[in-house]
Amino acid sequence: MDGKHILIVDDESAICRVLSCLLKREGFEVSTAVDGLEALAILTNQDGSGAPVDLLLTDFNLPYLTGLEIVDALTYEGIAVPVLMMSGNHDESLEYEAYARGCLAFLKKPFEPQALLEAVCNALDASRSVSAYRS
Amino acid sequence: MQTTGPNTLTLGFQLRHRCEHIKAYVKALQSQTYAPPIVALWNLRALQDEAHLAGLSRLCTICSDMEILLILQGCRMDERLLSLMDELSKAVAEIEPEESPVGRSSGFSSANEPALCIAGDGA
Repeated sequence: MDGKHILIVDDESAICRVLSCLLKREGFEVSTAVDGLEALAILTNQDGSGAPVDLLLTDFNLPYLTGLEIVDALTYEGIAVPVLMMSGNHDESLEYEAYARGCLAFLKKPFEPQALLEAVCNALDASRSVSAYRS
Repeated sequence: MQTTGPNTLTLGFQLRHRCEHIKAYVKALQSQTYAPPIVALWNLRALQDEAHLAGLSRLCTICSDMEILLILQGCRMDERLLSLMDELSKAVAEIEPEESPVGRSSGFSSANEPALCIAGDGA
């Protein structure tokens, strides 16, 4: 998993900070965004960084665009990125919507650091398997 | 005991002071009394940054682990938090033993230990 680029999107800077720290320790490259528009700029490479995102880890409640709207925008743009959704809202319909749009996991805040790492690794494994099958 | 000069003592003094704030918060969590997390989180972050700058990687990792637990688990009591607090106290204690910095230039203002900073300022 070394070197995989993960984009964390959360409007709470403390969450971005600790998630970034946790994932960097595991060898991932991490970018952060505090709202949906900034996230889309990174995902569509409008920010000019040039590094493709291998996994999107996004909160549901965000300024400008919700996590689900980011997923919709990615689908519209034809950008295939595995997505993990996080939310402090434990509404089952929200979880259903997330899975219906293709999110690979729905993490209910608060969650264990280990649960996040497992979800990230599983999502990247699944994504790699799908890519291998398609090629 | 590290006696490499005034800076080492000042750093140890600061770290110990920050550690006390964090310990007080963890104790409050343990006793299920309400305490706002902001002071503890602020000190934890500052301690982490200072430890990082001083090249104290173990201390930095402990602080980081505590911050991750507190933030991701919504400041809930956790056995791991107690264990990390214990490690943090030990790691900080190793940096500087119980030595009074009176008469040394600490430049550090402490609400808990006012006599120490007044004497240390040399003003």
